[in-house]
Amino acid sequence: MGGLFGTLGIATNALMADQGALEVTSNNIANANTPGYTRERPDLAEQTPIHLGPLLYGQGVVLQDIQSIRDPVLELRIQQETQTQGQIGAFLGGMNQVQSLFNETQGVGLQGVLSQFFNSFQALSTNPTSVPLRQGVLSAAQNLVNAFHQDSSSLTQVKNGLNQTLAQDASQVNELTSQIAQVDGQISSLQGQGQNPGALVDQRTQLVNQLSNLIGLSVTNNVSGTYTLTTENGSLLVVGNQNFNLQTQLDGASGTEHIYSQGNDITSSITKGALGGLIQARDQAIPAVQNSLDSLAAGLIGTFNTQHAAGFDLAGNAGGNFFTPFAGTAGAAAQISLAITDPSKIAASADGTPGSNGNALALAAIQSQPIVSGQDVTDYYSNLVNSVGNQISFANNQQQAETALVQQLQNQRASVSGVSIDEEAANLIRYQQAYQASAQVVSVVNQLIQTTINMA
Amino acid sequence: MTEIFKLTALLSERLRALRLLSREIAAGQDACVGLNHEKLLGHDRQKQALCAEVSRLDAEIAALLRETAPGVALRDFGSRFTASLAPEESAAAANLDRLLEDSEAARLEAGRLNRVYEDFLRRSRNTVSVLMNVVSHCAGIYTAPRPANAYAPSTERSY
Repeated sequence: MGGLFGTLGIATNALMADQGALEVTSNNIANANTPGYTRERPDLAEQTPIHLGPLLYGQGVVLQDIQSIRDPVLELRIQQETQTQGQIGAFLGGMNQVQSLFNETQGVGLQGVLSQFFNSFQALSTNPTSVPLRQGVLSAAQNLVNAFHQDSSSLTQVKNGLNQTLAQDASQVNELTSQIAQVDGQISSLQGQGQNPGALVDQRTQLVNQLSNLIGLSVTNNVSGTYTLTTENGSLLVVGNQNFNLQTQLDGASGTEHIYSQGNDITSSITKGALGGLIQARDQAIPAVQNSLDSLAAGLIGTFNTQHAAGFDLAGNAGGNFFTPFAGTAGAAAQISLAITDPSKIAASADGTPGSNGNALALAAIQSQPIVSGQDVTDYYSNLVNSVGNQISFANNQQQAETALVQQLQNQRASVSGVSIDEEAANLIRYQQAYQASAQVVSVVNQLIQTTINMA
Repeated sequence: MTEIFKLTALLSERLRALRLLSREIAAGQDACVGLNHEKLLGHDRQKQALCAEVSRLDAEIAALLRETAPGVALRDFGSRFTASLAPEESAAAANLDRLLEDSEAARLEAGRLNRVYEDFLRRSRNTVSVLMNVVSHCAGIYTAPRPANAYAPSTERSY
């Protein structure tokens, strides 16, 4: 016990502790609407009391620590679900572009030109010697060829666009990992000095969430308070204050950007985050659509050429190929072309007489024959369009569920780490009154000291 | 043919119930997202009541069809009897077709929203699983509390 000056010391410490607590409270209130802010709590502790004879004298209060109130489990779940959200969003972005190529309701796609093509043969069958009708067949065929080219080229453009986005996202990953490593260094330094790195931890959490939106992550907390971030397959992204950049490189054979980490191609191992969604759309969904389109074109070329060769042209010669023959299926939609340009070469006749329409009818009937995977042209194409639509519809539903889940997790986080203005207002009054009381103690001690001085 | 008016009324009621059901599913999900359990339970009760109402209406519609036109599918009901209908009944028959279309759209939307909700709950369950793992991990660290009498000084001394 230090007499009046001891009491003055206790009151001064209390003033400082209450002032600190008021600062924490006002900082919480100021950040009530700051995204990602974690509320802080002042930890007031009793000073170690001293024994004086048989008595134990208290030594007042000290602001021992400022704690950030966070739930690591919720933070982890938000990171995990943000990865899935990013993946679905990027996948949908790519597939919506694909769907717009086959939007039959807006007259875009192959359905119309396929019908016109087969109808042109039906029309020719009514007057097989008519040159205008023959010219009409060639025009419709050319339109069909152009539509196949257009769809194939548009799919390649969508893939190229996704390639560009992938490279941009990889670059953004590098930017974020660099920032995280920098913040990690500062956190480690502050913790080494025994200071509270709460604001920096918030900043890092925000950065990691942004990174989670881009790429699948695994986060490990180190003893030093820093993070180790790895990709899904364990490739290092950040270790403490050091970051490891991803590189992108164009694969000449496939024309796709690949992602490398420290010399290893990790493209196929990335399944989450926007990069995962882009890769899924680019390497799985779009190639599947492209293959279906190629199969349709190849089936049409093969079946049509066989039937055309069975007929006779206007001059009575045996029919040749209608489309340029194509071996295999890969690239058929991009390379389909007409083998004939002369309308008289269309083999409409079944018996060699110019008036015969037998082969024109047979060619028109191909529309309802199973030519690809046991399906006719219309059914096969409808299934292709439906498949794209179903994938988008499924992903849309998933996105809605995922958005709700992330929102729920953020609400849970807010209930733990968010600032409650009511609670903070109450704290403000509490600390203000404590401060006023301590100031009153200082004033009383001052009067007592003055009295003591006057006694002298 | 007053049955067509009865059928139209039943279908209108069914459509209203289906639309309300969609709204309740979405609102229930919002309550779950907002961690408002009381509201969530309220919406669950509403959903149960609406599902029961749709089932009741389905049974009434089926019974009416059996009585009026055995073997005729609901979608064919209006067109099947168009020729024998009075002018006002013809309008009701046309309305019936529109109601059937709207009902189908409402049924699909309710189904879609329910799938989204189911997916959300399935994903949400992962959070519970993670928390359970954390709890079980902690249970491995802290020993289970001993019974109260285990703390009695006499017991302590006996060891």
